[in-house]
Amino acid sequence: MTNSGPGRGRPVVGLLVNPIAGIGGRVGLKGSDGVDTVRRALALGASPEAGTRAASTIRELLARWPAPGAPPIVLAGPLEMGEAAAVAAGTQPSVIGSIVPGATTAADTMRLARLMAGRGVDLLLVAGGDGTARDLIVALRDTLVPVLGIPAGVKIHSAVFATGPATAGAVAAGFLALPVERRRTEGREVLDLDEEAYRRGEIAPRLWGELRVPLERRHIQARKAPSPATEAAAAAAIADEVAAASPIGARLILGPGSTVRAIADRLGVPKTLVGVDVVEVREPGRATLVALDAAEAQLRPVAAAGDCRIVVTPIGGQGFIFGRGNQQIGPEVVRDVLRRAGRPGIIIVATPAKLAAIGTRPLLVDTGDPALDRELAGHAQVITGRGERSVARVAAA
Amino acid sequence: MTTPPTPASPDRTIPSGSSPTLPIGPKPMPRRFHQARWDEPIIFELSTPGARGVLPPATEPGIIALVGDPAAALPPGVRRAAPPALPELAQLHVVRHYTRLSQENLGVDLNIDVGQGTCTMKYSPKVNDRFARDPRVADLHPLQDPSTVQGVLEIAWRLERLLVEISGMDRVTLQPGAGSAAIWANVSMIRAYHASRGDTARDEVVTTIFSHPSNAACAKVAGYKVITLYPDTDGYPDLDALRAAVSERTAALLITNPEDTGIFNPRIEDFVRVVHEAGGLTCYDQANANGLLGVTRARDAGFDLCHFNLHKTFSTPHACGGPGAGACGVTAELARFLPRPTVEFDGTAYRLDDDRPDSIGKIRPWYGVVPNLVRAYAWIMSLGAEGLREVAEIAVLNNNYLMQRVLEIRGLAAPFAAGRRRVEQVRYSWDQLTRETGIHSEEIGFRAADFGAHYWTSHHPFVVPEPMTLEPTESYSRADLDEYAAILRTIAEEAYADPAFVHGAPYQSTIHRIDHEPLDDPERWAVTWRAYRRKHAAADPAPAT
Amino acid sequence: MTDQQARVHPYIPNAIPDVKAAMLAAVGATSVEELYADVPPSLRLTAPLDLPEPIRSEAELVRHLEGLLRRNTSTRDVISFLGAGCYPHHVPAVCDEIAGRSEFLTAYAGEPYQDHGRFQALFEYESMMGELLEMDVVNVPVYDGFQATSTALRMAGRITGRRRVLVPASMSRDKRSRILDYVRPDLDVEEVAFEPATGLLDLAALGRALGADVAGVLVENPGYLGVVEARAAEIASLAHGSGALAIGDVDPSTLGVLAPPAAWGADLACGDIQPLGIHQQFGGGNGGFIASHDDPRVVMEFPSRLFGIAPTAVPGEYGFGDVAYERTSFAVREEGKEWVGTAAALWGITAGVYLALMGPRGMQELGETMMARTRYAIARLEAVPGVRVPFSGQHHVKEFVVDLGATGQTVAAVSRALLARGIFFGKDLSTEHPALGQAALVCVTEIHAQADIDRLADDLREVLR
Repeated sequence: MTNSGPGRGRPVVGLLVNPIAGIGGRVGLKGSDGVDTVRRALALGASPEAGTRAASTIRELLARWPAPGAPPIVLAGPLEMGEAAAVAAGTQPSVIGSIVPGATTAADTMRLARLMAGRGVDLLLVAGGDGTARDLIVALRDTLVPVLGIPAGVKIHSAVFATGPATAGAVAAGFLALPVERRRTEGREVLDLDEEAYRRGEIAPRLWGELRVPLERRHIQARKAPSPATEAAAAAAIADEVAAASPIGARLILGPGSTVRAIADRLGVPKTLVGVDVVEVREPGRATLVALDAAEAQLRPVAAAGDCRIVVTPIGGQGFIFGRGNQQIGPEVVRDVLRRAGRPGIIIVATPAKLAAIGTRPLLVDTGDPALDRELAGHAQVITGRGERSVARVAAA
Repeated sequence: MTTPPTPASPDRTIPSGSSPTLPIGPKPMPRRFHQARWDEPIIFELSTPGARGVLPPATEPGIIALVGDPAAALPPGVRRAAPPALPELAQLHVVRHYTRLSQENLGVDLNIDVGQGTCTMKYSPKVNDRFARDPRVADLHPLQDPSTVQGVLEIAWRLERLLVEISGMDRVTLQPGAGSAAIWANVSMIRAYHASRGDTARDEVVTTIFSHPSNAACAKVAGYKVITLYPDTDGYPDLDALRAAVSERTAALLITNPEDTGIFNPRIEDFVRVVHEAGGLTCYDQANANGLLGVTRARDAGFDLCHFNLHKTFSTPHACGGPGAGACGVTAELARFLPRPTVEFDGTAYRLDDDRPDSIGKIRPWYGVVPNLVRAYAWIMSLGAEGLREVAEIAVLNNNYLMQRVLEIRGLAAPFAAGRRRVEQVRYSWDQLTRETGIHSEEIGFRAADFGAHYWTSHHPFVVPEPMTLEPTESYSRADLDEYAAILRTIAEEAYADPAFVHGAPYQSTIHRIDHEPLDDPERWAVTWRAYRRKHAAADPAPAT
Repeated sequence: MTDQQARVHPYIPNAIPDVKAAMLAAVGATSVEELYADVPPSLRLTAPLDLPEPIRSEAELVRHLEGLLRRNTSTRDVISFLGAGCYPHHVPAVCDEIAGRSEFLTAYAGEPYQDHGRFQALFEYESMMGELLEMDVVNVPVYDGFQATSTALRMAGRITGRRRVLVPASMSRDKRSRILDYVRPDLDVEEVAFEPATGLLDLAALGRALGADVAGVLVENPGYLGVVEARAAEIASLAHGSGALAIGDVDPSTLGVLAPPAAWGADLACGDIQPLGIHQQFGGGNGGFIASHDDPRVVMEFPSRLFGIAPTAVPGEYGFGDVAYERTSFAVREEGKEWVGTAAALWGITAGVYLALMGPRGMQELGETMMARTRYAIARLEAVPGVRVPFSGQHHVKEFVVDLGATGQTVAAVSRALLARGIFFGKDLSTEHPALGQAALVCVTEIHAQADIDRLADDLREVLR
């Protein structure tokens, strides 16, 4: 991540617009993947919003830039994939790549993102929705480019998006104005729903992975209370607690998410970020791997035998503990664990900041078995630190 | 940011090209405030070798004749090798420096201090300061024979009685140094209670996310595991959540009511009952008591313990962050655990009783923050029962009035308890404004400095997004509340019209926007001037001390 | 209009009936009762609180308090030799002035913009204490010295990961009580005896007590019994030899003449700032300090606020803020985290004013004159028949133990007799330290003139006759 782009000394911000993101929502279509949907939406009078929002973001970024004479260089996708938005914002971008105007697809998004990463942009601003974010995960697999989403889609579940175009511009300005060594990022989840299934009313969401997002360093008034723990410290404290409470011989089904991964780290076992893994505690605070990235079929026998517990964390901004990104932990698996261990067999973990972000909304369950969902509904204890728990409501989605 | 924006042109508030005439026109609202700005150096930079601020008495010749200079007999390594590198200033310069620094603050005496929600920033009557500074309070030693301090013992005893009546509890201690210390004392007594009954399995304490964080923190320090309840979607404490949290391991419930959102828990009695049924004690954090004086009492809801912050509800000054004073109330059953000594009256004389075998012992040296006990006593005596009731009612009226005014502001909402009244404070959310302008709540606070106003967000973590907590108390007039609302309205409008300007605030405060980056970097942070000089002197052209 | 309505209370502006009515109308309520809708009727008080009649006029309130204060005898009207943790020093008028300024008195915990003055004043306090202690990190004051010591011990526990701490057996009973109450979940407290002949910590006993599980050794210097712990460096060295921290619990007023803890090897310093320009206030004038070197691992364990200096948008401007607000990023062990609350900030500012007024020479002269007056008092009292000063061979700064055992009289009786003569004798140690017998702790500071000490000696001689 270096300033290797043009204009050494001025940061380079990539601008990528998914021109059809969000196009379906306004006219009642769910999402906008697929050329048919787009055509139907346009026929229904939908107009693309993503470009307008991207322009707002760039305008905000430039307005807040501390050195007006030396603004960041904008490296944009061609025409409706960034260039038009940059020009509308009053700046002259450099342009990279080529497209067929009016007929862009996800492949274009991925190709342009990869090109921009290759050019060493300091930050990639992307206007789109969950689908766009999914494309970026694929495209940016081997890179470390920080990404910030400008929300412009129907489905914006991923935590990689700023709360609005203006905020995106503000965060980008704050981030890029820092010297490289002081820019901090953190991994944020990208969730997506299967498009067709979603439209049919069935949902089969997946946790696709993580993108690195600028960590906004804001002054927080830390007046009467002790300073808040960083996410990393909070996750480590949770890991301590779970490790201390897991007896030798216990098998843990570890769901996806970075907080659960901290538990795996503490226990000394590898962990997939998006998959479900099984470990067995061999000595106090240490475990060995039983299964990596297990499918439901592998989990059933584990749940049916011995001391087995499930460890899950709320996924995505909506706070799903079952049914988003961890469907491998199917209803039969959950039932087996409940039968043997009762509610204590399901260990829910979340950092205080994560719970606060969910606020007073309940945690959601969508196991695929409505009766089980109703059983799980009520109140559950969530481990939030060493010797710290919260009680949150759980509801069927 | 490291290359910050240049501040806006000086004083946007004064139009150019205006010519003065009589009658003098009305003052604009909000006013054209500018905070005192002395650009004052660090005191070490004002030092002149040899200057003296105050001279201690010189040792008399008669003493020297007998004992010589005992300091000279201290062995090397025991005696200080070189005088401490303190600054040297003549007396006037010390006075001037600190008087200037004092001007660079906004206390209750200076600003409409409704922005420091949960702090209950009410007027601290000056007459009470006179009592606190009287030599017959200020120059008493705690170990003086009781016959020489009957006055102050009587004040403490009477104040305890007043708080007993106000809370409905049976005994009160005034030993805690402030609110969190009082919570600590309560937790310690809870621990002692269960230990005395051999009930050692109780290792959990329940609290709520909107209670003061010291409830959780003190419980943890005392060795308890803490279970924090989240409210229901309407922001009310969730009784079902409590039932899910309570068990035979529950030592106590620690709960603030109303919570920091200003919402009163209408089922507080049920909360107490559920915990009692499980064998736990219930402890009422009354930091937010200002709206309930004479309206409802801790004991009537069934609580076993409670505490008050005398520097909040009972008017003792906040003093830049202390000294404050705390008071704990307990039932008769728990009185034996109270910190020692207690103040006792036998009908004739007052004394201190240190012979209390079940006491949790000392929670601080001596007996309490006595000057503040005197202030609180005088305040309560000035008001009486009707006056306290009036304090509460007007605090609640002021709060609901202010809420009405500020909710007219675009971008602001009061989450939870929609359509219902609040007690003495409200936690608002600027979430909509933030989404629309990119300006965060704390930045509104920085811009508030330009209008001579305080502002506070919330404790952490922020459950309410982009929070702001306002608490008017009974001290402010209607015009004050209108003015504060006008300040917020102005800033909100600026955020929509010119967010970059708000982002760079403050401009008319004592200093400009601080870069907090170095404060987190061990290589660059400096808690003392000596650390600062050591780490940064090469780059700093200031004269060496 | 009732009398009450005609005389609205001066502290409640909106109680004016017309204003109150207008505001009720503005919020659409017919009475204040409606605003309490969420308070269940079963919890509502139906009668006014049973409190004394209010004293609404200021003149009568003054008169009422005067009647109470008249029954106190201030130490200004007698000669007081009481110390034991609350000390009679001269409080410069400038300290009273600054501590009384309402801009400081009525401010609270605002941001470093609205309340810049307070941040700077506290940073300067931290800085001046830093010079006194020769340490780079000093906290914003906690409640009192007992709290500071308790927290310093817990910090040692967190830093080393060990459970046992060693404290001097000579420590005050009150301080020990507070420490035990506070550290119990995390630490086991063990006492180390002092030498009966000298009052110094028994090094052999210390050596036996040290082990691989000791987190910290607390060194009170001077000790509670007034003796200067002349072997502090050795104690620190022994502690370090076992991997324990050395904690110097000191009286800042002595640091103009005594070497600060950092100089004899302490890792942490703690104590109470009351002697620095703060009135005794019947024990209501305490503030605690904790200090360390600038080691990030240690800094991360401070539970209290640390104000640091920071640049602002304008060159040459000083800004301040909280150092290491993400403090727990090093300390994963959350169970150790303590709390932050309203404590003693104004006393910190006042102590800073005091140190600035005194300066290096003032603090040195203060220490030297206290030592001289104390040594003079020791000499004069030792000359009274039956009176012993058991540790008189040791160095003292401002307090010493007096043993009346040979007189046949109790400290209590002697104190009563001296009280009748307008003298407050030293603290009675007979119940706290029974091994010392009928002993008292006599305090002598810079305010005790030779004539005062002579009076004590002469009157004591009279009383014992």
